Amino acid sequence: MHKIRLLYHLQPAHFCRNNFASACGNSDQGQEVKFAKGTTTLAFKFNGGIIVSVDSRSTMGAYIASGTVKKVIEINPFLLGTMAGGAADCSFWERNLGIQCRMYELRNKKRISVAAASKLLANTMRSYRGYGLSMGTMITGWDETGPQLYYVDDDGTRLHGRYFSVGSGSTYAYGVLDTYYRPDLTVEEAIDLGKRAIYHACHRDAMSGSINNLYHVTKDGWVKIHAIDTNDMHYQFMEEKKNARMES
Amino acid sequence: MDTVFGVSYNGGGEEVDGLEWRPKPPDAKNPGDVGWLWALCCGGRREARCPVPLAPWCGTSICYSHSCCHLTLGSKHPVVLATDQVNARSILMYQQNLDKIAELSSHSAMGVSGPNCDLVNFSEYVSKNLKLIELSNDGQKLSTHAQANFCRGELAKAIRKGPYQVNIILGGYDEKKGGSMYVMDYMGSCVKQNYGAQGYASNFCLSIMDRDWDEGMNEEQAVKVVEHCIQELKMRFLINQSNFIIKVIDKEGVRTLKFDADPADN
Repeated sequence: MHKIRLLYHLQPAHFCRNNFASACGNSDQGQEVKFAKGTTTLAFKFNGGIIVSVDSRSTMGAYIASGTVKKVIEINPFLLGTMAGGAADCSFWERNLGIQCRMYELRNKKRISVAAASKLLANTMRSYRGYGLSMGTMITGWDETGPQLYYVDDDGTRLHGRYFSVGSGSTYAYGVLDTYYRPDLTVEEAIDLGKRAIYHACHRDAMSGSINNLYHVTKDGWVKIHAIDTNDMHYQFMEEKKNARMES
Repeated sequence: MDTVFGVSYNGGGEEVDGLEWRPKPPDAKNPGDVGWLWALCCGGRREARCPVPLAPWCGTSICYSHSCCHLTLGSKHPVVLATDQVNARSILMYQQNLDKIAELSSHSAMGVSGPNCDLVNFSEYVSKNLKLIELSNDGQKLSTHAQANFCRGELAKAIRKGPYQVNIILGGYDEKKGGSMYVMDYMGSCVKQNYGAQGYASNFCLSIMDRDWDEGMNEEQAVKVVEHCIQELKMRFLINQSNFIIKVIDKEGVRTLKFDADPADN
């Protein structure tokens, strides 16, 4: 029988601290192992629920490692998490969050609130602060208090808000969101806004692209609305612009 | 980047007559902890022990515990606290409707600056523990002085094991003494002051407060000083801090005087 043994001198905590943790601040300067990352994700609350919209590109420097990454993590039928930063950290810790949420349900015979779920994740991030985790996520869902949206990241920040965008393309997405967001959007308008914000981020940000996955969260839980290639969107939007120009 | 400042218009300060280190019985588990630091007040009639055991070489900068007595001062004036409402990281501003003034008890609050994580965790930790102390002592409220020393005690405890990176201005109102405020940094130093500002803001605001603060000010005048400071920051400070929240603590308790963006608006 084979026994799996760690090198006797290798302490996982020390290894992480020495190799992954950044020497100062939030950049990866001075970090031995640099994560290759780049993403655009966004989520916003409006009167018709919550829209979660993400791209699907995974890059390692200049190389596109995958164009079909699922960046919305379905924690349970009422909770969604998004993925930006290190894919492994995001998927591992959000899976871990899923476990904690399920345990809460079994113990308390009711669903966990989004506030509590995001706090669990933020506490996990806080306890591993300085170990070089890389995660920027939005936790969304519908609970007893209605639709809720939280931003949680690797240095333990947890914010409650109406809309957030995370990732290298987030500034581009924020540009569109800040300009066109209204709480009284219809569901169709909201879906279109989520789609367009991601498209414009993918257009400008080299590290974002491929498929746009979009989810709608209602009181009955989340529904996946679409998965559209942002490249196809580009030609569609160009066409629409051209037609509008010709009409006027 | 965060801005916190407070104005209290209460003259005078509390006095501790002396600090004294006394050995404690030998402890096999903690050979380093060989004594306690005692604070002597009221000419030695009251004394209090620092909650953390210390080696004698730790010096006398450590706090004395919250059971210390209080000197009665004449002033009954309230305290004004103000902070910005922004959370930003690198080039991105995430939010500008935060409330960084944590209400600790009915008559005290603290303005906290620092990374959001530490800010939230430290203010929650302190406010819940102060509540616990209150509940486990038949609802007896701690004085502002005691709360400030609890606070700095926790900062001092944390400094050797991954500190809370927070700078704090704690203000409160006591029945007998009136308003008082304490300025703390993340390393645990704590100074009772009549006005104070921390972070980059101090470069702009301290001079204004030096100029305008007066012992006999009323609330209106004190708020005006704070507003002058805010105006100056908006005019001269590179980092855009457009939104501020101002709270006043007086004999009625803590109340939010004004804000630029509603913290509840999420």
